[in-house]
Amino acid sequence: MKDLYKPIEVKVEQIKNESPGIKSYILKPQKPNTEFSFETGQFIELTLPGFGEAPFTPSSSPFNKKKMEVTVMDAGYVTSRLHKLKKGAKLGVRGPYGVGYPLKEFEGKDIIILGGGVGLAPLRSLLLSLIAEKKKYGKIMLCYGAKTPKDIIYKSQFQAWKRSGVKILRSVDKKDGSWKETTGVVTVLLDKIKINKKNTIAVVCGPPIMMKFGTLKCLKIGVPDRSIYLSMERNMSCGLGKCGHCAFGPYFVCKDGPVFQYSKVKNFPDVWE
Amino acid sequence: MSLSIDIKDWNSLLNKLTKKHLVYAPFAEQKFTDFKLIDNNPEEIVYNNAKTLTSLKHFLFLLKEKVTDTPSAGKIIVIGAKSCDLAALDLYDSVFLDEDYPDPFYRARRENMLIIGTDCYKLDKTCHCMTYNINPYPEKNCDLIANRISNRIIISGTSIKGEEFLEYIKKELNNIKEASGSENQKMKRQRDSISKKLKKMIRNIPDETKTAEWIKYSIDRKDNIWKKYASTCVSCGACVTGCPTCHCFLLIDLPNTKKIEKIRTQDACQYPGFEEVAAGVDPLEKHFIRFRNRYVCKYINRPQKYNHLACTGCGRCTDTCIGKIDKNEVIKALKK
Repeated sequence: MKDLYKPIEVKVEQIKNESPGIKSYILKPQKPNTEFSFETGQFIELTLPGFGEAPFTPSSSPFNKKKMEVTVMDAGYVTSRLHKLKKGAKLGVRGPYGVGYPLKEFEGKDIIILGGGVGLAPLRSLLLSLIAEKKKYGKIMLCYGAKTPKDIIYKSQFQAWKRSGVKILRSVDKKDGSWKETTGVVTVLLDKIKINKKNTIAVVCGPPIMMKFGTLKCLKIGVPDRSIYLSMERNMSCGLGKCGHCAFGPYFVCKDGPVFQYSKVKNFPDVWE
Repeated sequence: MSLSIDIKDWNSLLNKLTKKHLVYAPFAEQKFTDFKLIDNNPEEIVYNNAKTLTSLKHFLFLLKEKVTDTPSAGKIIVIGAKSCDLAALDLYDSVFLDEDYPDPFYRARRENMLIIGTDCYKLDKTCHCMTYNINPYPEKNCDLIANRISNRIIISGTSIKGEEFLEYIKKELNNIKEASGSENQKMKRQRDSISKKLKKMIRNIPDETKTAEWIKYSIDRKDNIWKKYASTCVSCGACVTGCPTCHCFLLIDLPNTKKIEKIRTQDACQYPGFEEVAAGVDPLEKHFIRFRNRYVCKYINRPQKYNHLACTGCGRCTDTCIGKIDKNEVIKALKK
């Protein structure tokens, strides 16, 4: 990697509205014959030229190298501006950075994917990776929670995942008239599944409060702390483990994470911040 | 081998060097000394004083730098680097010249810099390098060591670059000698006496092991102490700017929509919002936790990651603090 800070140019090929406040962007490199290469769970830095840069974990499958998808919640300075973009806009991509999901470790095991809100974005990439090589893994269970049915992202894709053999459980904090699935916080979904304590991996991603209670619930149902993987959110700025903005104990989330085994970080005072 | 050069010859050499390179040295500035470009005034250089106001890091890590350009750096010579600042380069090199992402901008500057260290023959009241096993004279990370003994400069090489520079000196100047036994003796006596004086000054300051232990213990147990000392901190970040090891930075996109251009600027964990993420979560939101972060980083987190303490005992954080916070007083108050 010669240019540490210089992104490659990409074009926004398509914008999808996922929910109020969340959109997905399909990106394609500007330069012909350029491919994206990342491991599921790694992240990229996305530059809005002349404006700013923010970290996102691709939500697409790493097996698709021609295009990359990122799912963005309108939450801050860069993301609100991203939401105003139109198809065809030019952006910059640096990366991939950090350590993704250790899929080798997941082989032969049952996998619980526990996601909340836009936290499903990196988990979708993981899910697609697992589905692509389904024979390698045991049962795949997706437990997903959103505030309301409207806030569920990737709405059209759950059926296909189900057909691929993924067990899907969904909950909303607040239901509407048409909602027939679970109502309540996402952790209640974990009461509905049976796990093989010795052979189950749990992967958690979502807002901090959900990560906290999701992790504690995973421990309660018997998933060992070393089998719980967290996708941490911090202010990753350089992506190189230098700028210090994403310091997390002795680690930098951008380089040593963003995926961490819970057993390695559980004693840090700011694990749930 | 050390060379002994008459100060007048040395100064004429420096004047010559300034025609080709940027040559910096410590000059007096009110109550302190600081690095300035030599500009036909080498006779005003202050040798063997205590630390300079600003540290060596500012030559390597610019206040702002366009990092989307191609790295380039002209040769610079820095005279008068102190041991505390030289020791700090261990951490800087670990961060910026790591195996995974060596930083080409830092590397270009580092490789094009000739560093001439000097012993400290004077101490500031905040100096405490020896607390962390760093002696008040250069022992690493410099190319040469030059000290002023009476009207002579005694200079020796400590790297290949330094030895080459000595050869250059020999070619340029006629009237040079090998340092005499008595000059070497004088330098040794200076080292011994300053070390003795410093050891006495720092006898009540806890070492890095105790410090790390007390800080670790204090987290969630001694919030009141952190709150007390943080109460006069105004989050100005002067401690970070002065610190020879602090290296956090911010990337800013230039407001130019046609081309992606990024500027790297020095940043500080003491500024509000340093770790804040888009949705508003900020692990350092509470002021006393942000204040504490610097201590946790320096004595626990960075040593764990890089095997180097992120404090070299220069004392600048205490010198520069407008809230009059004495770092070592904070540490002493945390005693288990």
